[in-house]
Amino acid sequence: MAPSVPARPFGGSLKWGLRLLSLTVFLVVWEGLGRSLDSLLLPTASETIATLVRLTGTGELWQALWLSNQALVMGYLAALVMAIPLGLAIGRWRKFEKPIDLYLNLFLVTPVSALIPLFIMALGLGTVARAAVVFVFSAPIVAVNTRAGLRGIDPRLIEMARSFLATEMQLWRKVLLPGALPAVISGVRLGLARAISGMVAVELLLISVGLGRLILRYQADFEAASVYAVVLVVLAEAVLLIGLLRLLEKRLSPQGGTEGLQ
Amino acid sequence: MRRIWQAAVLFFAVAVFAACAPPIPEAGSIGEIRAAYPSVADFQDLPSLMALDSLMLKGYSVVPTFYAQSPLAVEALAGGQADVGFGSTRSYWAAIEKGARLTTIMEQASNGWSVVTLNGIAECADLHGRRLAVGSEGSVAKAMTDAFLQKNCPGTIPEILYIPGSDSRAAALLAGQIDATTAEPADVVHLLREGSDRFHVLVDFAVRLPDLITTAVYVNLDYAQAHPETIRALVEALLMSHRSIEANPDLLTSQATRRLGIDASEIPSILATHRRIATWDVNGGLTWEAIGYSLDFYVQTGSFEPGLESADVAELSFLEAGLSELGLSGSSNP
Repeated sequence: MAPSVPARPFGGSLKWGLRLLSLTVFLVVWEGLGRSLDSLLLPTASETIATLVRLTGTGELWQALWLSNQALVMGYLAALVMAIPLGLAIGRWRKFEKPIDLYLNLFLVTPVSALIPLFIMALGLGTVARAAVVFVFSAPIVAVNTRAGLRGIDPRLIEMARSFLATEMQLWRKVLLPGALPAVISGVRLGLARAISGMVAVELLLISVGLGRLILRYQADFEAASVYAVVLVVLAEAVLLIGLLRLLEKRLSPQGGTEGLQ
Repeated sequence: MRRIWQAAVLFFAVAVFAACAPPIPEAGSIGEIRAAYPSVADFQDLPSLMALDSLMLKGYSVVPTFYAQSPLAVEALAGGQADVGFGSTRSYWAAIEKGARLTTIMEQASNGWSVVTLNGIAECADLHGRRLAVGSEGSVAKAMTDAFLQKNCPGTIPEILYIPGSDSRAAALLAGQIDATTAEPADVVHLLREGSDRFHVLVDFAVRLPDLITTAVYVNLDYAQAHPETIRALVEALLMSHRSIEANPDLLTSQATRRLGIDASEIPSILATHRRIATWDVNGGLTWEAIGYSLDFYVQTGSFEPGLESADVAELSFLEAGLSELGLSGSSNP
């Protein structure tokens, strides 16, 4: 019988204690900088939190959040639907990878914000154009991570399945998909983070609606606390959604989650 | 291994020092002027850039910086990273309202905004339900458009789209994605040239609101108190630049092609527009009446709360000193 691992009764408390401590340090430093720098664009933490509380009581913030998230949901779901199968295909068959790899790498390194006007010219000024930008921000990272997940599978597992005369379908069901899943979920999580960046970028740079419009308006009026309150809302949404995906990753992954390609 | 670490730490320390150290004025310079511009240079910035060039020739060390957004240029001036700023009164005065130690010393360019629409939109009320693009909710052009709608066709509600950049909005209008846009003179010329049979100018704010100060030159008050001679030299250089262009508008042609890459064939039309509206006032354009009128306009359109006084946002002594040195010119803006 294997020796039992001693229980760590304070492990959870310590983890939460450290998180609380780091948050407190961050807020204290922010408050100190805000007070000492006397900048038009840097509020104190206390001003920002008070403004955040006030903004959450207004319909304006929720309406902006709703508008922004329409593009996020459309673009991100489209990215998942297209990028995961694409990543699987290029991970499995080199003949698919050759023509696509170049474009995938290009989209990974190209500053997508600079391409936003092209989307607007091609797709107009509506939600579809914003969703397309979100798609381009997130799809490459999802596809690349999915490919990496498939490539990371131990070749001996594939050889063994082949030696047992597994069909291609059985290989996918029993070896490839379960093996790639942790990296796919990591890609989905990283893709979400990029999608949220894309959602805000397009609203700040070209079509000023939703949360981006609020940020620009408050910035023009030098209401720095309101600007950062909206930024905190975006951060809170990102942390919440990424946290949910991390939970999903832990549930689906036998190793309890991988980091995938960063 | 230890040497590599030592070298890395030394390199990091030097990099941090280099990044944080203030710029060293060029040897022999008689003063330093760090100028903050919002966004990229456009046509109305050319005379001020020419003035900065002339100051460099006189021995000043001049560092113009183009910030990505107007609030960043304002913050740079308020925070002391810049000494003079150029741009919208709406932005700089909003900062003064929030306590920034800045002041306005002269007008940069007179009000040249227009609303360009599809030919089917023949009058104000036709804008109802149509897609009208403006730069931002807090822009001068949006405030002027709101005031125009309220005065001439109350109840008319266009579908407002916020697209930063007059050139981006002009491109959207050309592509048929919007029905109307606020535009700067160079973009008006471009739109009418590219689609003379499709577009027309519905409102010319240079005619409707000629006294509204939309863009100006600002200084950091601490810098102005420490370097009054440099500010006076800047004002004189700007006035000289405006007067040179008044006398010979073609001076801008080479500047526009060199600095902005504007199609040379469009420049005569752009120059004609600027000449018609006397964009660059030969006497600096800033008067207490114009400042009071502009502040009232901003309060009435909801841009500012009441309470900001003319003396809070402007200081005319530098302009007056420049004018007494150079003399008044006859063809100032009405």
